[in-house]
Amino acid sequence: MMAMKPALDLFIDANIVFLLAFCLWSVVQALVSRTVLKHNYPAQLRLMKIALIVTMISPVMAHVAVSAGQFLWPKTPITVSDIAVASYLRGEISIPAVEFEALLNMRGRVLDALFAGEAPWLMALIAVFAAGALVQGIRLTASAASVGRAVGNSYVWRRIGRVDIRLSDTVSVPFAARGFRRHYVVLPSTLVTEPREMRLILAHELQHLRDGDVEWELAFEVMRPLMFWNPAFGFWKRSFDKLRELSCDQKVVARQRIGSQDYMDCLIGFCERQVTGPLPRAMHVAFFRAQDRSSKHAFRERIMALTNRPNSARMRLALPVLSCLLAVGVSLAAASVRQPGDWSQDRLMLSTIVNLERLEAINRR
Amino acid sequence: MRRRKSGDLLTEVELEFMNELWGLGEGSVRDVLDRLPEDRNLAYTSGATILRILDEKGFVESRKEGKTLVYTPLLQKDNYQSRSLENLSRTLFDDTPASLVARLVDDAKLTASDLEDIRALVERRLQDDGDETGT
Repeated sequence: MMAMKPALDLFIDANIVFLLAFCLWSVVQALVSRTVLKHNYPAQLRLMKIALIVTMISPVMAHVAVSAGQFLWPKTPITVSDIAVASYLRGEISIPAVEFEALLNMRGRVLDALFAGEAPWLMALIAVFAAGALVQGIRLTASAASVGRAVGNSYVWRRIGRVDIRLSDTVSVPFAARGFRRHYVVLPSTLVTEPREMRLILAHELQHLRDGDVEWELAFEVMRPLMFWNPAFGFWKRSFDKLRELSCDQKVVARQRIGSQDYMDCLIGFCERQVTGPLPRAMHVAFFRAQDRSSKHAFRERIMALTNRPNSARMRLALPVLSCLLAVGVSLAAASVRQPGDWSQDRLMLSTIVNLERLEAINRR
Repeated sequence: MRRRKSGDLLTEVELEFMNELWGLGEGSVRDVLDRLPEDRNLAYTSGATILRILDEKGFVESRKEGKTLVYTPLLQKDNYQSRSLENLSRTLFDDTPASLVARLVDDAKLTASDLEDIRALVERRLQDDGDETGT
């Protein structure tokens, strides 16, 4: 049972970093809205992907940040608990040392109580989490099976390298998905009689495949059973989905030499006719999703995004600067939540004060 | 190549193409497109795709004549009519064909002559059934 403690520690750290990284991303996005990248959604998506990758490898990045910090500023604390101890020793926090130490060690005490089976409410909380994770796991499996059925019931129209373009009588919203080896674009068979519309929609779905959006969707959905309870997960996913579509629309218009007016007409025409058809919940990237309440707003944003052409010439400096800012910020956030590994001089001093307070209490009796 | 199970129905555009193929007996993409109304304005590639899907679904078969693919219906029109009516009866009339006929007789603008023809058909069918049970 105690062998699970490091894993649980890592899980808690990952959740905190996920939340902190989203806060940092929100700040960067607010900055972006004041730069030349404001309407450059492909660049914003690239930034978000950098933030997410750094978040996913945050245990490694935290180690790098701590090592770099110790090398550059050996006496400067990096973790939140070390900073708090330093503040306490400087007299900036005025509570008894015993209480302060209890606060610092609260997470460890809660985990010890959990593994010792001493706190029934904690066990109940874990049971609720496990049930939630199970439900999410079942929904994930059902979605994967649903996408598999939709692909299986469709017919190969064309093959381009590792991509199968398929036509389906049962699907009304085009989507891109992937199997173990092949990628799939599934289009409603009714599009066969609308070649112009089909060309635009196909360009959109192939752009998703080129950008690796299906793999990102799978990564999010695989994480969901473990992260579903973390509000940051929902924030990240919604922001990512929105940027993914805006970016894809802009790239299609820029890359395929398709007029934005034609593309807008296609999007509007398609949504007018068939946005309410059956669609698996997850594990794919759909041309348009009308199942949620925010779809009308999302649709308006996509149309507005097409009226703004990104200025790629002026973003050469802004993008690397913001990428570095995000990577360093997320790494520092990950380092700051780490549990201190050894006894620093400050911690030894705090421990001495705690012992003195305890001795004083004993002497008073 | 995977073939669809035979009980499936045709989509609207597939039915349009099958109707032309049933009329032709067999034909190429160009033959079918030439029979469609002028305002249909369907691209050659779209027509070729629809016929290829019909081939994959097993509703038609194709053979090569020179550089052209010639398609022949594998499913007869009356068989498809029966299948389509069975499906309609099952999905919309609670699997009671009498309701379907009642709706047809009540609502469709049938003339007296149409009704006479229906009566003759029903009587002939009843007589055939009687003969079969008598023998």
